[in-house]
Amino acid sequence: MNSIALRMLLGDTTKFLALVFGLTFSTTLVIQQGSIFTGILRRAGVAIESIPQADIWVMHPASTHYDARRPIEDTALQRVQGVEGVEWAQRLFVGAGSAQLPDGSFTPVQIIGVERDSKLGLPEKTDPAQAAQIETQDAVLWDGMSMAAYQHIQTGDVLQINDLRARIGGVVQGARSFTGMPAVYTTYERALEFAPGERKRLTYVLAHVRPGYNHRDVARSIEAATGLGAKTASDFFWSTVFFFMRNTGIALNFAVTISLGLIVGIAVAGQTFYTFTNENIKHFASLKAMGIGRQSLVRMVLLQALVVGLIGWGLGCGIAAVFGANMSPDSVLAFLLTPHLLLISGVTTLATVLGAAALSIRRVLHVEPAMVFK
Amino acid sequence: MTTDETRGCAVQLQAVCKTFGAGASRVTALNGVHLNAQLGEMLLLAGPSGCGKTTLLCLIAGLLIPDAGGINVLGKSLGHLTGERISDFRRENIGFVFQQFNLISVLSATENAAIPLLINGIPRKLAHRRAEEMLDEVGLSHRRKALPAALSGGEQQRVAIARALIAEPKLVICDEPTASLDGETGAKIMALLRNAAHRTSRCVIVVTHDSRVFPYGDRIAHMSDGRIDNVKHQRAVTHAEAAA
Repeated sequence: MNSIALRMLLGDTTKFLALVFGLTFSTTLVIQQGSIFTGILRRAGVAIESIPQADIWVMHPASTHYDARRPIEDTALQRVQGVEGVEWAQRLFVGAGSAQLPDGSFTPVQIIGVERDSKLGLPEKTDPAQAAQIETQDAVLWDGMSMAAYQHIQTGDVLQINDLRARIGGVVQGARSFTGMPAVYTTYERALEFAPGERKRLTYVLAHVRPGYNHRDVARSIEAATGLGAKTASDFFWSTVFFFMRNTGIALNFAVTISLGLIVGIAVAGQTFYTFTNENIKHFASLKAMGIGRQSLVRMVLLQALVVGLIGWGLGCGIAAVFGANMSPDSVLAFLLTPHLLLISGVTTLATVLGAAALSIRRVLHVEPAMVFK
Repeated sequence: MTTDETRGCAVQLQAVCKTFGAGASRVTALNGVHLNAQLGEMLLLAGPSGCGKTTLLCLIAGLLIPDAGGINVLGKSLGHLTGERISDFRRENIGFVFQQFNLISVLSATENAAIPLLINGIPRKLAHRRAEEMLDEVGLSHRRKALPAALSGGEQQRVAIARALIAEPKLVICDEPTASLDGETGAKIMALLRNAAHRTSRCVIVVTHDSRVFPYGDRIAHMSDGRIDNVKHQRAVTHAEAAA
């Protein structure tokens, strides 16, 4: 009877295509919008991810996320280095400035100062020759992943950052940030010169954990020993991401879009599937007259629903994947397709087809087989 | 021993009543019907529209439950069967030929004919092989792969007959099998059904108001207003005699 169920489904080409379209549409929307959402959110914490060697971020105890920076004492470095489980620790300066570009325009910039020796904090893909440039006079590295408006900045250009001369020693490919605002990378000492003066200057201490130690345990030890805030890289990343989710309208906007897509998919699939069943109700009644059991009828309808759901979901995944093939977390349009999104879309598609099937099953089970004699 | 005595009793109805609706819209479809049908005979149920023929057919098939009276089909009291057990009984013992053929439009003649075997859980290849044999018996060996839309009315009804007989049911119920067919085609269909009754000792019950098919029945039960008026025995004529 399975083959008969599938032949009935495929035999009605118009309805079959409408069903597949509805499910493909809702699946594509869930995955595509979900991928853009995760891509955007990831950028909120990309600065943390871009320094994978830092297992623990030490900060002001009141800091809740990456952009909520408050300076700490310079002595924090030595205090963190003395905590058991810490293999090494480095300073990282993150500040804000105003840059006057060669064309005379102004732009806010993020100033990132890294240790001269380790250069920990420069984008991972920075080649050593470019990295060495920051040690030369007035040199900074320009963030090539900033907005399109700043793509014209080249090596050799001269800027004014907070009224101080800065020479572009190279253009590096970091990770695209949430805001797209440009960053400049330089030595820790030069970053302090660029940034407006405060009594405390250090932003973060980045710590690497010795093998065999639990990262969260070491973070707690640092907090106990120094009185500062300490989070593992993962915890700091997620606290930054959740801050943006809770305090911006991003999550709600995407939830609305995805929900609308799901509603459309459910409506199209549900209505079309029910219509399909109704138009075949006489066949189902004939089968009931011939003695088919309830279980067989239910299996037939479920098989039809699951097959069309699988095809729609598969096509939706494919379309979303093709859309994302030329995208990456660092493309202009944020796009991050994760297995969770495939799972979520699979669950929503399954729920859609089961809901549609339930209405049809009810119809089929209640049809009077005697109607075939009318 | 007479021919009647060698046949078993396939269907027995005693004082069967059936009403529909309630109150002012209550309609009495059957009012104390007594009837029996034997294995190996073709019994025609004739009467004007609305006399209760189709209701009687549905009751015999177990598709409706009588309000009063008893129905025995092939030795089983239908009143003692409910739900899935009635479906099982129909599947194993009753074949149907519908007025509108009710073939599934996306299935070929072979696939349509095989449906009762598939419902019974017979593997597809075996069911299709048996369906092709049945189509040969009804003269459609050359149309096995045709879809219903490509078949004439007579050919579709022959597919339906093959479908009705494929599971070798002891009882075949036919609702106006010639209503959509011309005279010559209808005669061929009736000949097939009569052959099925006589050759394989099946009981074939045919509901009809088409007097052209009367000569094919072994007995004709005339109905009106929900009752059996009379049951006439008649000599079943050959196809050639009926055509003459």
